[in-house]
Amino acid sequence: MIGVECFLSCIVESGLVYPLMGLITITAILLFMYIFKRNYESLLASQSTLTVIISVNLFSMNCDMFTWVWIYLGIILIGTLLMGLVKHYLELQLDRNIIRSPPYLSEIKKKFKVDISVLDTQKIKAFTYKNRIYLSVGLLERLEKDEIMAVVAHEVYHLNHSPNKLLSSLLALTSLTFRRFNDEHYADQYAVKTAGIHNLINALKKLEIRDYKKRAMKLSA
Amino acid sequence: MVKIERISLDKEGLTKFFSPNEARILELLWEKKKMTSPEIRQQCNDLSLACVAGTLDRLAKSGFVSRTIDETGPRVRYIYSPVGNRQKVGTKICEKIIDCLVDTFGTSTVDSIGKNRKRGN
Ligand SMILES: [Zn+2]
Repeated sequence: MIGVECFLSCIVESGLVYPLMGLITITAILLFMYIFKRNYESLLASQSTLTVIISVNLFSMNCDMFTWVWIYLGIILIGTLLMGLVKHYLELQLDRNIIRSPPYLSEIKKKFKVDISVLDTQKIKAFTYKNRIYLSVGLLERLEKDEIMAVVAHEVYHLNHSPNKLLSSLLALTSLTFRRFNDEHYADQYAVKTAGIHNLINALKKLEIRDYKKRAMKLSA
Repeated sequence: MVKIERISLDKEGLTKFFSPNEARILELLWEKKKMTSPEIRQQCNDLSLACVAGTLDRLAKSGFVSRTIDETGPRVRYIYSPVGNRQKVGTKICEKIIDCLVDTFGTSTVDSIGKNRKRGN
């Protein structure tokens, strides 16, 4: 109880009550927008204002609750370091493992107007990084051209519509919501629209994607 | 610690150096000489695709298996073949063990191995 009283008096003394109330209202509006529209812009915006609220609260403190500042900074520091490590590892892998992409991909590249690089690994990989789509040999081996088209379409959706992964992870962390925008289903829907539902479902099945049945059900519903 | 006298590359000995899945795929490749990954997968139906893929990547990276990229067919694909037969892999492993011993105990180990061999003969 002492903690809460201290916390309240801190804010009142700092003269930030009205700005904070304004920010809280904005956050609430943005969150409502996110719940109704499900677009990443309102999620990222609400997480940003939430971050500001948390920062203002924490840094206006001068009482014994100051340890919270350190806990908060610790979470962000460790999270950012981990993300940096992952990014570094990914970039190393990308540099080392690119091979010449086979000629039959050029038609798909033209159709979607994207760059595709081929990763020299047997593992099943398909992802986007810095305006480029990466597919592994292991994936290409198993799929017909139309099925590759479905996979590429899914990734093209991410390329054009998904928020920056690093930014959304960082905001999920700093706003302490730990929630990242998930638009896998929209990407699947786009793939269905451009390449046909059976091609996408066949691809997911052949690649033994773990939740392929769930994704297929959601698409046919 | 591996008991040295039990190192032999028959079925059981192989799993002293390789995981059961690695050993299984190596045995397959020694037998068939050349295989594509769907062919390998077919022989390991009980394993997941991801598991087979990971094992193949590991074997290729460690140099016990080589793979080439084949673009002659309608799709790009890997063709796998073993690097050396059972005996050569045995030699390679022995060399690795000796390297480890030298790293740990210094070059005097190699001398003592030589002496022991002479005495044994
Ligand atoms: Zn996706």
